[in-house]
Amino acid sequence: MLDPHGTPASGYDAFIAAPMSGLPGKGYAAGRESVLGVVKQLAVVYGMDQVYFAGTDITQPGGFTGEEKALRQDLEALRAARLFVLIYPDKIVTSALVETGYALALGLPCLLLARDAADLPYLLRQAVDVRARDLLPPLRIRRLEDTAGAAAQIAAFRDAMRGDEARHA
Amino acid sequence: MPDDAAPNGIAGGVADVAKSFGVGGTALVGGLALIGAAIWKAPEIQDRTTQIAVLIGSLVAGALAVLVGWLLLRQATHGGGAFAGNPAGARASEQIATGSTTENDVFIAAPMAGFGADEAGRKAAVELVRGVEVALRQLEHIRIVYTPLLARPESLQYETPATAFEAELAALRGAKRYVLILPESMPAGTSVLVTTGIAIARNIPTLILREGGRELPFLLEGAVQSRDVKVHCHPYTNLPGIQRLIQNNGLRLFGN
Repeated sequence: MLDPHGTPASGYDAFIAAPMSGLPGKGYAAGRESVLGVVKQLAVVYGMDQVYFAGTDITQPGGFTGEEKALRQDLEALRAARLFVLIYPDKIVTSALVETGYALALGLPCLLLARDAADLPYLLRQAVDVRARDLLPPLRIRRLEDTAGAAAQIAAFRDAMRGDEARHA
Repeated sequence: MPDDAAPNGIAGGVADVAKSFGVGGTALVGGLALIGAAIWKAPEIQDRTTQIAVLIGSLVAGALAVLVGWLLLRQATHGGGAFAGNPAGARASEQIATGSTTENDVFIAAPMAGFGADEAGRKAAVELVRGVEVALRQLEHIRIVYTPLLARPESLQYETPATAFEAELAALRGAKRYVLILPESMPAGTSVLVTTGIAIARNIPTLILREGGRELPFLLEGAVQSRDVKVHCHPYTNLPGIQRLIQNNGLRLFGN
């Protein structure tokens, strides 16, 4: 069931942010296919049917129009998500980092997937070690592997967060 | 925003501490030596009046030297940390420990990545931020300005990315306004995009100053166009231009 803005009534199992509009032509196609593969694995293998990824409907770099509308959709999806996942394959200037900050401020559990933690922006590299836990939501940094590996990491993170919820209930 | 470690900066910090220890330690040891010499040698002086004058004078001078040395040593061990020279930063540091929040009238963010050993680039960025800070302080209601860049203008002095993030999160939590300065070339993977996302989510009135014709990341462009969030953007060509912009428009730049 979708609301008028396309958000499922039950919310999103996860919000996936990944570099898109900043990628060049072929890089965009490859990056998008890779993330769509993760989304498919999450649905088929792990039962995560409601995953938001802004690139789902944008097949080519030229499809990025209407920045204001895109922002509104993204922010609504973030507010409706139970988890946030950053897929960060390379150091790049990307709106996905803005979404990461937004998710952190909303208090969404965050999973940051990067090939190397050193690729992440400086402030995020050791975010798991921030001592003042009231400043950040639950957060993990994991190595970004292939499609199946990334999906497995996301599902494991979901399970861990569910476990935490159950313990605190 | 810190994005790379700066080895020469750490070396500089160590040199500063060593310098402080050197002066403080010399004063301390000299003071103790003076007191010791006074006690040891004063009895050998024949004239009673001179003996008392030398003893009292040496003891007072020695005690003063010990006090000054102790103060310098104390400063070297406690005062040269991540936020030296930035009162707002110092408050952020203190308040992390207690879990409370810093009240900042403005939080200024600017990319720091890629400077590495390029001290000229770092200094240019510092000068730009400092100039913006000075211009903002001229405005009514702007007293406390926090910026990670001015917290450590010489180099990066945070112990770890985690402590840096803690400081910035605490400073952002209490920020009333947020300024993002985007130079012509923005380093890949800069942390300022993360802190800007936090500022937008917290609905902090945000001003983006972008150099020349540089494009904003897609969602930031959307934020500037949107009425749902408080984000405004102005291009700039140089520091005097920014200062005039601030002087002429004041807090209206934030949508106030």
